[in-house]
Amino acid sequence: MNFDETELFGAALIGFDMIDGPFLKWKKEFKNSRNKVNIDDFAMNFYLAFRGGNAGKKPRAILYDKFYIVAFPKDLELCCLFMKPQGIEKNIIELNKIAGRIITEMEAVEDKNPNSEESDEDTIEEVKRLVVNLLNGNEMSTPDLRKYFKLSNSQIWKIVSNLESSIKIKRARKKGRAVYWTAV
Amino acid sequence: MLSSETSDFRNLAKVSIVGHPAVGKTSMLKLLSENIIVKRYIPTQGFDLKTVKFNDMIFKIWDFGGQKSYLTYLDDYLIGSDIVIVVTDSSARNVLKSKALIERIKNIMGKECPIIVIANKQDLCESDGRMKQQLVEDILHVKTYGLTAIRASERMKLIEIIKKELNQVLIRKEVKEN
Repeated sequence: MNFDETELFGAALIGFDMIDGPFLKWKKEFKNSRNKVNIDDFAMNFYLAFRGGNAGKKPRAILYDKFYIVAFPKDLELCCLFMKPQGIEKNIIELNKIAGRIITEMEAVEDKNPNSEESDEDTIEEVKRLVVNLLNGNEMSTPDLRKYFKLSNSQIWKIVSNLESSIKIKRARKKGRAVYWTAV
Repeated sequence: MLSSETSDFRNLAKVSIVGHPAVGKTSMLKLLSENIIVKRYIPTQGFDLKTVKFNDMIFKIWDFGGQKSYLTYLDDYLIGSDIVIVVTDSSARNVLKSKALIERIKNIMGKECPIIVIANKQDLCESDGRMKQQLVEDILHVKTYGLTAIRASERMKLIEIIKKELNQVLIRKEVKEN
């Protein structure tokens, strides 16, 4: 990404207070700014995104859909520069295709070598509670449900079958080979 | 009571919403901030913060992700709360689990900060046996209010609950000072 100063449309300094946590110290918007970011509401999330945790690697820049932020920490403060990315749409589309391909490959590997680790009874009961809540007023397939938990295909099937037997959930429809579930 | 002359919170209150995953914390945040509530569950990563203005009051609402790894940070982020709302989905299992969470919050916050419980998903009491508000209160021994956070019509009810509880904090403080 080549830097161009005209990409800069705003700057903000996020401070940190021991009682209140991160807060917006000041913000500056540059001329002709068409990009509206509600910095006041996002200050906390930016701070957490750049400085979250206590140690380890921190990001220098975060790319959002229509803007990116480059942040420079100074003691407990964080200076954020808001930028409008130019000419990177094509790269993003190509990278998205690559990511999609890798995900499919890895899912195939995972299906061949399922996680054989047994979850304890308490975890299974908690998963059941969550599945019922997820399916309340909503339809989801078994693979969709699986994405919310560290469970193999067979483990999630066992749980949904169990919930079906106890009339907590029911089959809503079938699309291709996937069964869609909903709460009773 | 919560006018500019009397409020200790200077009309700005930190409201923390805590609870286990998928109990409706973010739905409550959306209800208060009048955002559209989608039924598809998207877990809150870390926490979300929204400012809600209501008449002369400003609520800074912190919505904490309910996953175990996020609850580890509760001690740090609850500091300064004027009220803590523990949300349960009113299922027997979750109500019992919330007991331990309430004890932990009491230890963090001490006696000065009120803790209330929202027994959410009250619309499911008849269809799938969720506990009614009174039963949740009897089990948890904490003031409990029933709610269906996905109903936009319940926004005023929730705001009134928060205002009422904050008022009581002020009354207690005044009594103590006098």
